[in-house]
Amino acid sequence: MVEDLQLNDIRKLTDRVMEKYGYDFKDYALASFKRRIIFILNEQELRSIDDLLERILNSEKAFNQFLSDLTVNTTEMFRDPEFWSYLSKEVIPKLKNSKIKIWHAGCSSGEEVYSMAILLKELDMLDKVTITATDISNSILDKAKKGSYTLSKMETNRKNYEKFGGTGKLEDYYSLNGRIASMNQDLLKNVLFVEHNLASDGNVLGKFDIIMCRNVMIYFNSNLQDKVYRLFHKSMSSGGHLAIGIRESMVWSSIANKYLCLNQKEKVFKKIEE
Amino acid sequence: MIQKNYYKAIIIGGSAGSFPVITEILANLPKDYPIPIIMCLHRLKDIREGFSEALNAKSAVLVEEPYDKQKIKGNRVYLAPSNYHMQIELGNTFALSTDIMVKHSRPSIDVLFESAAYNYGKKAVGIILSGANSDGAQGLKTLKSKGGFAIAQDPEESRITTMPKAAMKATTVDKVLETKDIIRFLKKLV
Repeated sequence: MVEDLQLNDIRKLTDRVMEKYGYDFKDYALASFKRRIIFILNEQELRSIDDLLERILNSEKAFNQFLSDLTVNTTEMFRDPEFWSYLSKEVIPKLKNSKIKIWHAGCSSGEEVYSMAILLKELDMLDKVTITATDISNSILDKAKKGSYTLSKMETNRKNYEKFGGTGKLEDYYSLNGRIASMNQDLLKNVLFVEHNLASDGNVLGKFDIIMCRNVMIYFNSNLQDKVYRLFHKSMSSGGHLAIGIRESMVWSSIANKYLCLNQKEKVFKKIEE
Repeated sequence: MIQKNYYKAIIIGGSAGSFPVITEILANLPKDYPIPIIMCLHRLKDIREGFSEALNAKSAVLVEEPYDKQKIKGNRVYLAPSNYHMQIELGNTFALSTDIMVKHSRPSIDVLFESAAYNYGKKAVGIILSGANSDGAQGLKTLKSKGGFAIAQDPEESRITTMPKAAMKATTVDKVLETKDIIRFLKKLV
């Protein structure tokens, strides 16, 4: 069992990965990043960073697996139900444009994308909206596209959905094959999944009316967080909305004064200045 | 020998049966207690609010649930927010995470204690209170191995003994204390 890693081990890993694959992890928040690496080492029964490097530098497949293991992919549908209720009552119905664009930045295995699609469907707005869902890992994006979740996860999702105040039943949106729930694919008809790395891809993917990035930037250090906030700002339509995790704060970011906090508890912000 | 004004943080973990202990401790510390008190208490994930309010009602020191990247200061009690792991990051700030549960828990006491051990080393005091699982044992062991001061609530007094007993099994704790003696100890640190 590996119990701890030295800083220079971690730096060696991020440097070699950057050299070989161009993925930049040096600005990831250290405590969580270290935990993930230790977790990966122990799960793959590797004894050191060198063993891990040997594996991922010599096989692109192993590297892709590493990418998806490295990012924290614990998410739920309608996580923080009160947030989703707020979005559904106070934010989305007030968007008056004929076409609405939403970006899920760091969408992981897709639970929030499906939550959004269900919310829009229940507001009868699904056809008005295009969703761009991005993640650093292609294999995670494949999972998101498939939308297959275990029944035990669906139990959590169902409870959240009910608290959120869904107008139907969560079962209406998936079919069961054994113990696996597969989300109805018609929820994805206006969803585009795109590989995108918030840490390095500074290109603007479009102008969005809503940017969702909940519990993603907590894995970045403050420098990278600010870089991402600035990217969001450039990618935001005027009057657009930004949603971050309920225990995240944007007060320390360089764009904070260009946003109005609409809901301090649910962390929804509105762009008021270019 | 306990040194005054030496410790940088007091890290507390507790679960079932720890709430009255925590409230008694907080009720007996002065408002300007200078060492940050950082707590991870197992809690129901669905209940997002009310916990820190309940503690604030009893505590003279201000209790808050930190945001990610928030600076850690004295005259404060910090409570790990519901459904997040809470860690201490270089630069004495909080780092939150939604990573997988550890010992069936998020927030997990082990996760908090380990990060505290790496950041505060011998200047951390770790206290494990009443609880029904073994979360915290590994963390207290790490804290102790980095030179920190390890305390377990006296199992004789704990409502549920699993957690302090697991911690005492995992490492040689420096002290086994009843609630009133934990309070006395904390007062002696400043």
